[in-house]
Order: sequence, then C-alpha cells, then structure tokens
Amino acid sequence: MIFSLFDSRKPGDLGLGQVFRLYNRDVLKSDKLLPNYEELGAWDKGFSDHYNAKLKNLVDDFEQKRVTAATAARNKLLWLTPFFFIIPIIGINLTIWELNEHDESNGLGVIFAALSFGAIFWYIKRSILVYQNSIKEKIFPQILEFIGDFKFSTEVPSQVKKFEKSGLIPAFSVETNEDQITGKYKGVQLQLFETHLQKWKYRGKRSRLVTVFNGLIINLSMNKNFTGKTIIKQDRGSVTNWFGNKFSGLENIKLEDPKFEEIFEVYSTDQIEARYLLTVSFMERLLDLADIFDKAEIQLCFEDNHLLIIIPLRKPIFEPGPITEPENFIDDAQSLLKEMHLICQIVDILKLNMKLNL
Amino acid sequence: MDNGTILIIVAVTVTLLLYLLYARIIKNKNKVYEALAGIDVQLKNRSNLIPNILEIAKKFMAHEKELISSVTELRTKTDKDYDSNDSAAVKEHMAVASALDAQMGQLMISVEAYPDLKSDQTMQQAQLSYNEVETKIAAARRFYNSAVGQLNNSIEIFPGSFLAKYANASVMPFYEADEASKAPIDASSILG
Repeated sequence: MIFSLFDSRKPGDLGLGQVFRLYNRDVLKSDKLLPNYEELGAWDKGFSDHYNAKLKNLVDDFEQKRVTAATAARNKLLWLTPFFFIIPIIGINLTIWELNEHDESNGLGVIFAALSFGAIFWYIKRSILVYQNSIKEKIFPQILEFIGDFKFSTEVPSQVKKFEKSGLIPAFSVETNEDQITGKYKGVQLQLFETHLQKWKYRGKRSRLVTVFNGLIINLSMNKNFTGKTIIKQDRGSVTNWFGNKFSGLENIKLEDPKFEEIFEVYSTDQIEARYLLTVSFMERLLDLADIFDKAEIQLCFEDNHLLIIIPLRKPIFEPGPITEPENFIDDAQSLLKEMHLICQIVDILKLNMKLNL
Repeated sequence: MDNGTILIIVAVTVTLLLYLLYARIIKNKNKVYEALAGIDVQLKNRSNLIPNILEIAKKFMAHEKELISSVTELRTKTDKDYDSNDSAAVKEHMAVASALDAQMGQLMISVEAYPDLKSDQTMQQAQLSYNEVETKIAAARRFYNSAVGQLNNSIEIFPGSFLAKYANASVMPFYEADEASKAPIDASSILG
C-alpha cells in the first residue's frame, strides 16, 4: 500500500504523490516476471495456494488495465502541465485587479487557483480511480474469500449515528463512508468500514467543515451476554482522564500490565467483567493492534453484546497498490490479510463465538 | 492574622485531611468486601457446575474415586460461610478454593486419559462452561488483589496505620496461586 508523500488523506481521496510520479516514463513498464506469493507468517499461512488458484491468472489482465489507466492519466498530466504555471499567474492578476478595484482582496485569486487545480487533479485522477476501484471490487473480495465468508463494498450508507451511544464518537455534522467489509468469522458477525466525520464550525458569519474523526469503525457481535459497559481509551494523563470520565458514571479500572496501563485507560460499570474481558493475552493483542495501526489511538467499547472498535487513521487502509508500480496483488493481499487476521484474533481471544449459559 | 486564627486554620486543615484519609480507608475496605463477594459469586457458579461434572465423570472414571471424593470434600468446604472481616478466615477460605482449583485441574487432566469421556458431548459442554467460570474467577481474583493492594497501601503508611483501627480495617491477604499450579507441568505423566 502506498503512503509516501501525502499520507494524511481521507476516505475517497487519492495521494497526489501518485499523480506526480506519472512524470516518470518508467511507471508504464510492465514487470514480465511471473509473481510468486511468499507466505510471511501465521496470518497468511496457506495463502500461496489460494493466490495461485484465484489471483495469479488475473495478474496479466489487471497489469494491462494498469498500464492503460496510467498511460491515460500520464497523457492528461503532460498536456495539462502548462496550466500549473498559467493558473498561478491568472490568480495573482485576479488578486491585483481586486485590490485595485475594491481596495481589499476577498481571496478571488486564491479561490480561482484552488478550484482550477482541484479540477485538474480530479480529471487526472479519474482514470486512476476507475482502475483502483476495479481492484477493490474484483480482487479484494477474492483475497477476503481466503479468510471466510466476507463481502467488500465501496459504497457504504450513513450509519455512524447508531454508534454514538458508546460515547467514543465525537459530535459530527457530516459523515463520508467507504470500503466496508461485512461477514462472519466463526459465527461472529463482523462489520468494518472507513469513515470521515466532519463538524460545522462557525466563526462570525463564516462557517467551515472541520475533521473530527477519520478512521476505521469495527463492530463485532458477541454470543455472550454482558450486563455492563466497558470502555478502553487512550491514556491522556491523569487530569484529563479524571475530567473526561467524572460524569460518565464509569469507574476507572487499574490493570496489572504496566505497558498496557501506560498506553490505555479502562473504565467500566463492572470491575470483574472488565477484567474478564481484559485478559493478559487480550491486552497483548490490543498493543499489537495499536502497533499495526501505526500507534493509532485505538478505543473500544463493550456494550449490548457488541464490541465496537474505533481506530483513527492518517490514511485509508483498504487501498490498492500504487498505479505507478507493476500489479501483482501481493502487497494488497499482505496488508489486507494482516489487518483482518488481527481483527479475527480479537474474536478468538475473547471467544466471542462461544455461547455459554452461565 | 493572629496566632489563634492560624491555629484554627491548621486544626481545620489537619482534621479535614484526616477525615479524607479515613474516608479513603473505608472506601478501600468496602471495595475489598465487594471484590471478595465477587469471587464468592463466581465460586458459587463453579460449585454449581462441579456436581454435573462429577456425575458424568463417575460413569467413566472408576479408578479416580479418590480424586472425585477429594473434589467433593473441598467443594463442601469452599461453600462454607466465613468471616470476611477476619483476614485469617479469608486466607483459609482462599487456600481451600485454591486446593479445589488444583484438584479440579487434576480431574480435567485425567479426563484426557479416558477417550470415551473426553468425546462425550455433555462432558465437552461442561468443560467449556467450567473453563468460562474459571476465567471469571481469575478476573474476580485480579479485582480482589487490586482492591487489597489499595487498602493495604492506605493502612500501612502513617497516618493510615493510626486511622486503620478507628476504621476497623486490617491488612488483608493477597490471593496467591497455590504451589501446585506454580509447579512445571510433567507432560510425560499426562501423555503416558
């Protein structure tokens, strides 16, 4: 997966780094070597057979599509390059004209430049996005098939409101969702999707949308009955923790693992239930999960027979490899399998699949 | 500000601090009782499961009569009432519960030597339920140890040690795993 130059993208965005790398003619070269999937760990054990059976025969076809899409995007980039110089000149002239006519600038030049550049990049990226969406729609489901009965969809309806009860979702006005995986693992219903939440901020007569959350929401159903509510949050220092939870009605839970305690704070309505959920192995997996997601501020809520996991991300995770590199689906598969393996491990560790009448 | 006023402020501050410490000790003591009650609820759950397990086991494990009767005896002892204010009684109650842990662990290992019993559906479900309740007991004991840690810290450090007798609080024992469960497992004895 690609996160080189502009890695603070939101769902639906595409890195500008990819667009600029199209200036290099080498990106249109195809790798003629037959790809071989090399298994790296427990999380992709047995995948090489699945790769050979389901994905290898699609590599040539998608590599051709990649070269066609990259060529189209590169041609657009080359003939639009003069506008990268013309647009700023027009923008500056508009600002000077505004200053001469009205003695003040309302940012007409800047708005013109921003809109023009936006339109150009959108026009170039369109060819790339069509190709990348075809990977998401045709290849990702084939990769997920290896783990179990999962569906992948790029279109995701609005639904974040239903998770607000957990107290982990910040107040928001607009939600943009994409890339949803739904399915069952060992009988446990699993749903995860990427979301970008924004809130209107008002300053005098002006208003603007600011990002309040950008990341992944994971919702797992459980076969166990829980009476209480347990929240795991990032440790924000004793004073902030105290004020943040004073009125939530939850009690602070002190756990034995010093590394876990350093990173997370646990609050619950039930001291024993919280410790039942947070076993030593679960705490270890949660630390692993935080590592995998680049030390992200992971938050969890156990309530109403569901486990909600919220992971802020600086970049979307369910993205195909860059259009500037030969296609073989190996990077896509490794990232997707590793992330899904960790999520499935949560089900295994918590034995969420077991229904016991105690 | 005259000396009398200063003396009053100091006296009020000291009294307030002592009261807060006293309240903290009472709070910690009650938390220990809450944790102890939590353990007992889970021990009761386990106690309710044991007769079912023994009933199934008896049909297959003719050579384990001694082990089965030992479990029955320890179960009866664990179910007995005890004085939760008396740290010695609490310690003894925990020791009995730990001994039952060890004997039940031994019984579960012995099940492996009886393929018919091991594959019995009712036994498998009973084992799953037993493991689940054991996890809950472990969670309850972790809460208890955390509560005891807080209580002991608050009454062993001066002036907590002075206030402890007024709060009717004494140092409580930590739950510790018994020696049998700390010992390394002899795989050859299990696998034959």
